[in-house]
Amino acid sequence: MSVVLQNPARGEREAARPTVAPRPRGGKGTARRRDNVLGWALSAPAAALLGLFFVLPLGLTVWMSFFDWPAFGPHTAVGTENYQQIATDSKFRDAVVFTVLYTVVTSVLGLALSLALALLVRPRMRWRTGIRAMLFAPVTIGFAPAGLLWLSMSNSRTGVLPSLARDLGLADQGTDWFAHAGSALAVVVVMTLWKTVGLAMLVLIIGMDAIPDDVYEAAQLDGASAVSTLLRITLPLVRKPLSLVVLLTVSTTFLSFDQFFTMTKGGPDNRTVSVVYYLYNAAFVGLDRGYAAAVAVVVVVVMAVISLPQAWLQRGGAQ
Amino acid sequence: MAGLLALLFAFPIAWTTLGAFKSPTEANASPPVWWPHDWTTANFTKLGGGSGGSLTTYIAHSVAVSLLTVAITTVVAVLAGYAMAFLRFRGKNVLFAVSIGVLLVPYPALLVSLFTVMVWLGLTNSLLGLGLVYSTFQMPFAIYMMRNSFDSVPADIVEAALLDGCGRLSALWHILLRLVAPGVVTVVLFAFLAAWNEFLAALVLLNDNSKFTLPIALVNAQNGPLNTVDWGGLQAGITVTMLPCVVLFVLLQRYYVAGLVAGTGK
Repeated sequence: MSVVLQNPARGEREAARPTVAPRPRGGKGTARRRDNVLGWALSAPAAALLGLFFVLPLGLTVWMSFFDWPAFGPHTAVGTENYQQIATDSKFRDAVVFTVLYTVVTSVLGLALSLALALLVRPRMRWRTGIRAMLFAPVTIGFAPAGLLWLSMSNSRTGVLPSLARDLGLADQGTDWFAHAGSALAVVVVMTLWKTVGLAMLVLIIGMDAIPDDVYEAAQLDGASAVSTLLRITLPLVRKPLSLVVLLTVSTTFLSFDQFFTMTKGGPDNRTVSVVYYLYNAAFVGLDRGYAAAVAVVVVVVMAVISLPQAWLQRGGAQ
Repeated sequence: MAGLLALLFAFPIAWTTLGAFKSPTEANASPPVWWPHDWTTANFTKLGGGSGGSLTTYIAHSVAVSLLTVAITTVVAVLAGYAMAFLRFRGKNVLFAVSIGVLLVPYPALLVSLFTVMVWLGLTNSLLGLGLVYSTFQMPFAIYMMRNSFDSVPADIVEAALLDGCGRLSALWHILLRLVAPGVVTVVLFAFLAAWNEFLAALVLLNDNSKFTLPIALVNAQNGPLNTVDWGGLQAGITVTMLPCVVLFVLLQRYYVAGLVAGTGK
């Protein structure tokens, strides 16, 4: 991955690009009409996909949330009853609390770890490309196989990790890591970090590589220490990729499902049920689609609230 | 130090890959065996034994869904990206905004009603239906990527292609497509990985064992009869699910990073 990363500023290209494409022949009016027709013909498949599988379900979700909508049988309008049910549902609240906890723990640890890794593998060194690739490789694996992979490594009988822990005197033989909510969550967090820090690391490296060398040279001439170089130069200058990393980590972690479904099944005692897991249970196990739709609407709103300020920070705030 | 960490990160991948070649006794041994003594490939034929399909069937399903997603995503995004870069038409900005809007709405939240939509369209339990859904969720990245690729083709080349007497579409086909090939490879790579790895939508939209994709089949294998798990078979399944991703990444790193830059360097 020793690629020289070129990151042409979008603004410059936008300016250089002809606003009106060259037209072969025909008057201005016909050309415009031709543009319109051709434009729509070429965009129609994209519009159809987005309409059928995005706009329609989005609208339907909002619509369904005001109904009692069982998986089988007729549906009846119930007003805002589903939303009132959410407000009083302690299981939903537990899922939110748990998901926030998981998100905060994973994001904080992940951010620290990816920053450390980025600083560690940025300098030229032997095997740098290979080392970066190995750190990044888990990112390409799906969450479900990755979850099952760590599940089998952590199995109390045949797993390699409990066996190592025992050999090191850290745990008793046969301790089931998935029997307690705390240790189960710990295994999931470690798996998530393993699978995600490579991406954040790479985004940060890309950001760091964009910092001109002379900035560092000037700092060196001024006798700045490594720590103050990091705090006063590197960190402020990677603010933008850093906030992007935070946005990515927080939003993907908040929507976690695969790792809990494959590793803990929400257990023990439903103590590792994430928000999306709760949504899945309501819709496809409880078959209460109207209520699930209301939960979905709440999730959409919550995600918007979480990501809009960050997106704003990303665009304007970090200029 | 860095090398040690890299080895630590690679360890789970290596461990599982080794585990896939262990004999049943060694794969299910407690404490675990580090290095297989009796190498065997029998694990690769066992997954899902008796429950409807073999590992090969599930691989075929995952390949089919992934290729469908790649084909639909690429064709649709190349056409739309071309239109957005070179043509002025009414509704262009709305369409682009909607495609970016997909990023703002978490897709798990759409699955509740998407299931109902798929019932209406007769696309439940269909690999094509799944491919269409995956393609839709690739649209923001793919359209953005293709529009930028077409944008960065130098204006005089576009002009020359058009004045050459080529129609717009044949200019796209004969000249421009070659110039935006790196963008296309990136779109293909991301679409493939997303479709290959996706779990929740497949879990919701496929409900028949004979249609399962690899990740879903793995979970089923892990819920073996009588709570017995065939660890060797599971690790073989995980291996064939994860290794293609790692190999693709290693081979196409350049495009992977290009996609990352396009997706993040806005």
